[in-house]
Amino acid sequence: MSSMTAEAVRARMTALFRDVLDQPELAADGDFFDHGDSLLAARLIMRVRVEFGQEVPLAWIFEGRTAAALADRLTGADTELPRAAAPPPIPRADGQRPLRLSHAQERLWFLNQLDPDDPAYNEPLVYRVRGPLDTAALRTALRRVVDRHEALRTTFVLDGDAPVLCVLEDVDPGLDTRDLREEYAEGGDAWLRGFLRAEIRRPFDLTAAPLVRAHAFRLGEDAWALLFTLHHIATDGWSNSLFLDEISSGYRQAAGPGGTPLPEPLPVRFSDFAQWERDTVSGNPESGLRFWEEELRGAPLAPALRTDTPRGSGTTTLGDALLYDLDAARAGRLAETARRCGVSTYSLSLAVFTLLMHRWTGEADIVVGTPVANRPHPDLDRLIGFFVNTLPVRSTYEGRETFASYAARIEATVRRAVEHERVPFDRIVGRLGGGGQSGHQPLAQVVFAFQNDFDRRLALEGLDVEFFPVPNGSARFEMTMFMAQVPGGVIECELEYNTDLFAPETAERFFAVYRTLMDGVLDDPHRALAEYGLVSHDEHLRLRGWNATDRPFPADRCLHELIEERAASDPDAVAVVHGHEHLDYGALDAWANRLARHLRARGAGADTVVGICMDRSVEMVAGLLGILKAGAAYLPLDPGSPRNRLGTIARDAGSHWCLTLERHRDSVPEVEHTVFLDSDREAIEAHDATSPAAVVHPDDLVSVYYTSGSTGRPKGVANTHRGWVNRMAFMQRLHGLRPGETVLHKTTLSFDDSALEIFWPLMAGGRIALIDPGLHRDPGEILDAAVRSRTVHLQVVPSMLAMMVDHVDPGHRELLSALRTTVSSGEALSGELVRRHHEVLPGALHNTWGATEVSIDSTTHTCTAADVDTAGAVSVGLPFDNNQIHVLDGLHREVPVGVVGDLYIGGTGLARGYLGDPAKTAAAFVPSPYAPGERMYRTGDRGYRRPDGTLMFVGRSDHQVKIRGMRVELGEIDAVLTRHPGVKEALTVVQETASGLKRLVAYVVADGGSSGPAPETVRAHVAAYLPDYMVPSFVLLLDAFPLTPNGKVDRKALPEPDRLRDYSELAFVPPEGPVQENLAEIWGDILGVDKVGVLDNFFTLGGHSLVATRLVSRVRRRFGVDLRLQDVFGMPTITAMGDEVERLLAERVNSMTEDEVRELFEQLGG
Amino acid sequence: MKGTGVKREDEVRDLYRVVGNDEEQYSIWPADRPLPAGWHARGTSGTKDECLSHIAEVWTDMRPLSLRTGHGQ
Repeated sequence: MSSMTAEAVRARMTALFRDVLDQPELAADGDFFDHGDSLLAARLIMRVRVEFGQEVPLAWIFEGRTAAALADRLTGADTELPRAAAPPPIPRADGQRPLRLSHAQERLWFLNQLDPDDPAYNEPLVYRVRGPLDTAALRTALRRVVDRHEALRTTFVLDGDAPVLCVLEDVDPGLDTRDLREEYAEGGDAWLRGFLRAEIRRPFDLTAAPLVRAHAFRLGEDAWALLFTLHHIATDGWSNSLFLDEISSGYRQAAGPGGTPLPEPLPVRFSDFAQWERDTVSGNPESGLRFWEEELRGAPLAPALRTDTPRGSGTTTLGDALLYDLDAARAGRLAETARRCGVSTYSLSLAVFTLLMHRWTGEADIVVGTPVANRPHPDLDRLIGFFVNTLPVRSTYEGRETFASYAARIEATVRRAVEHERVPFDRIVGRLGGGGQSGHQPLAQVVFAFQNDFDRRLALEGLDVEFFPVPNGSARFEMTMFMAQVPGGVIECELEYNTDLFAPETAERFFAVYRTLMDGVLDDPHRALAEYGLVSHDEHLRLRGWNATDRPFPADRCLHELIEERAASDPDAVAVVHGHEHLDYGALDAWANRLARHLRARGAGADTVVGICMDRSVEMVAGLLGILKAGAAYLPLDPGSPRNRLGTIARDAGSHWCLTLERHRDSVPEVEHTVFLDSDREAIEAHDATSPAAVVHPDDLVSVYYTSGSTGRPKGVANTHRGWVNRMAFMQRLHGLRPGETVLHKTTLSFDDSALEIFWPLMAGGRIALIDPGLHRDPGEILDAAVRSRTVHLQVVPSMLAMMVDHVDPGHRELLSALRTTVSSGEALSGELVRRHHEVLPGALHNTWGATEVSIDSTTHTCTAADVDTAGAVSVGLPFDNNQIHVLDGLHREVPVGVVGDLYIGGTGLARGYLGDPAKTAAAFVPSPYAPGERMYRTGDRGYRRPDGTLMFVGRSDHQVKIRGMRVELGEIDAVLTRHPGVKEALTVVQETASGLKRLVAYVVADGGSSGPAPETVRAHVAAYLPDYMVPSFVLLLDAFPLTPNGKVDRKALPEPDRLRDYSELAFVPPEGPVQENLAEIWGDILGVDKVGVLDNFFTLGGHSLVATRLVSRVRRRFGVDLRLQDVFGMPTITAMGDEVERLLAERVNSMTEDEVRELFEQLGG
Repeated sequence: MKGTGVKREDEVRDLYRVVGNDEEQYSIWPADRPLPAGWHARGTSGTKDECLSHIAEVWTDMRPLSLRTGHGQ
């Protein structure tokens, strides 16, 4: 080369560029990446190395980009470069030994064994031909290609238990010629596509050659459809172009006067390559694998895309494709933008695609696959076979990075990948350990491929030939984006998607968002990644439509005024029923008036807060109404909560008044004025029974509900009459309660859903039936009360609904004939629970979603049979009257349908804020970009919209969890834990056992090197400040928290609770005798605890009412006796429960025959 | 929810503005984003905590203005 002038090097380099890119007009300073991608770059570099005999790094082509630049670098750097030894030739495979498959072939062969009829790997090449086709010449041409390329006449047979290549000589592929003129005249192109698709999908038998099928279908006098179907195990994109080239030249020779020389003989055969690949790659796999191990360290192995249909146990390949053309103008801007960003068109398009994946999935770390040519030796250049390899491209997202910088990062990643392209994909998967997961392809489920049009161009002498795309109805991956540059400057985009996983609308939206993102990038590639919008103008309009919920309601009235109207119009109607007690509207109103006057005489009035510390009773209902009539807001104080907590809340709310009953004397917090509705009755009744006529405005407060606060302090949500009246008005519009009908009040007052059970019936003239205190956690009692009261409505959290449907017997359904609606709220509702509800309970099931901060609920969904199949939580529906829901990204911009975002609520229901806490209010109630001057509440929930606008809940953006329907901020528990003098640091997590039991586990680090407090004393400390559902089931002492490399607590590395160590201070007493042993086994099983002692408390081991119900039914099955649910609460140890079971067993045994007794004891293993 | 989420832009964003509406309700808004209609900057900006501390001082009556002045009656 040293003898060549710089000019000559340039000229030869330009010729190489032209050849590789198939661009005969390309100038010396033409940009390689305007026409080629990284695959072609690798091919070019290989040619350069051979041509100039020098080791040229692949990076040079990315840096130089033009023939001139590369040539100059080559001549200038001449002396510094190691002289590339001509690569040693690929040796001939030893014909005496079995011929092994290449790695990639082995993978395809294996997939074929799994499902031999799967047509996903049938590669169609389809053309429309006009002119006098010479079928004999085409047949000859085909024969010549098959003769020349061993891969096309190789079969795959078993040698022992391993597949080997069996190369056949003298295989005639034939040409199937059929006359379809009649059918085509009738059915046209639509028929033709269907016909071709069926032909394409015909399975190949890999044990029979050839692996190419050729057809010429006559459609008219001089019109044909040509179809070549090759099995991917014998070909790839590059090979297809070789195949088409050789068909062209073979046809020209056979059809013409002759003279076209035969192509040069091939230097190697595919079987040589397969053997060589094994000897060179497999012989020394470590360096390549080490690169990939490093590159993909910590990368996610699970699929990033959320599918419409759950992934099954096997991978399916049914697919379809969407087509879209980037017109020449846009394609031109794409090339120009890529040039300005200093990256290839391929890298830019890939970067838009990986950005889409980040934004669509919300994942900051993703992997997509991209095919590479993998022809690492110049002698493989002209060989047909399956060489292509899929490489994982990993992308990480940081919202503030500019797109241009991100695209450069992606290009560097691709470059590194291409330099290690020889490591077979399967070896990478094997090394990373992701191959064992079923239900999805390992590592890369989504692929981006940039193709070149000449891969599929066919020329037949004297004929007009046109490519005719016929998708084969398959998808090899979950989604694949193909982009191809075609003549005329257009870029064809094709999105292939798995139709078993994605609805067509989802694929269309995914595709549409890609275009929206691409447009944003073409407009300005220097914006921060987070700034690119995903929503088109049309979609904005659609989103707006789903929030058009304006509807009149009594906006100028207060809650109690609407109840007073009822009392005035029908004072004799029954308002409240509790056991044998009945209270009519007139009496209720009079009682509440007197109470209101009593409170006003003690200073309560507008914008004051009055506590109510009572369990369910007629007095409680009168008390609530009395507080509102006084003009004050009520503050629920659960007498079951620790007094410490009630005191904190009452002080925080600035409440000087508290209504209560004598039996709660020990619970009620200390306030200035404690009013006992029973023992102070005389003083209250001394007041006038007429309304105190306090002036109350709809914007005044109606209630203050305290919810868990992340910084350790609960926060009081200050709701207004206006919001609640709107909520109740919608309740009545949807459920239409008629006067005299009953609603069961079973929900604890400190859960805001209880307000629906109390105020809504009273506003509609209905009656409230109260279930006894304590019984609300017993599904049997609730069902009995529902039957007795003939309730038309039930308000439940899903965990209670699950217990109820387990408990229903066939008799209930008939007895519950009055029940019209059951409303689920507070937690995610599963499809399975919908199914069970529909099976055993009468009436409709509604699912609601919302927040205390926006008047209880804001969306509703009537469950249907279609919900049963929903994976995860069923839809929470659409916003109802005067509510707006926004699904937003981190910059408060709407995200498209199907994309997960933060859920915000706006509208009439918005609370005033957090009582006395302007900072927390300002942080959670933020300006709405969608309603001028108004606020919206950030719920902290994450979710997305379905195509019909209905909302799906997917999780939380913080550490808030729901335990039995109640909001729990884990940070609040941590704060209480660290207030214990022996605790330095604390972290509480939710653990879900295999049986679906959710329980809190607290990890604590002891203060100052002490041996640490006993776990039981720490639990007792928490129980003194927090309600029972917030007390951790386990407290684990750690020396220090395990940390992640960036210094955060590594939650995954926290130890699992171990029963013996965590309760070491509580003597472990092993069970004795068959009854205790059987009970211990049942406990251990349903609580997910290894070893249960007879003194352990069922509830401190994580049990709650849902689990208690399970326990009762297991005891029934094992012993044949009926333990009552109350017994579990009353005797929560094995000792006590064992005694009760023995007593019940004795009763039962007395009425048994001898044989039955023996059978029972055998069953118990005693 | 999976553990690795896209880093939330508003948590890494540094500067906020204290804003208010015609009902004299306060809130905060990222300093480099255009203000939604009907909201006005109240002259204070800083980190999230600084803005919230300022609001805790100045927003002493959380009733909306129309309720305070009786216009809503």
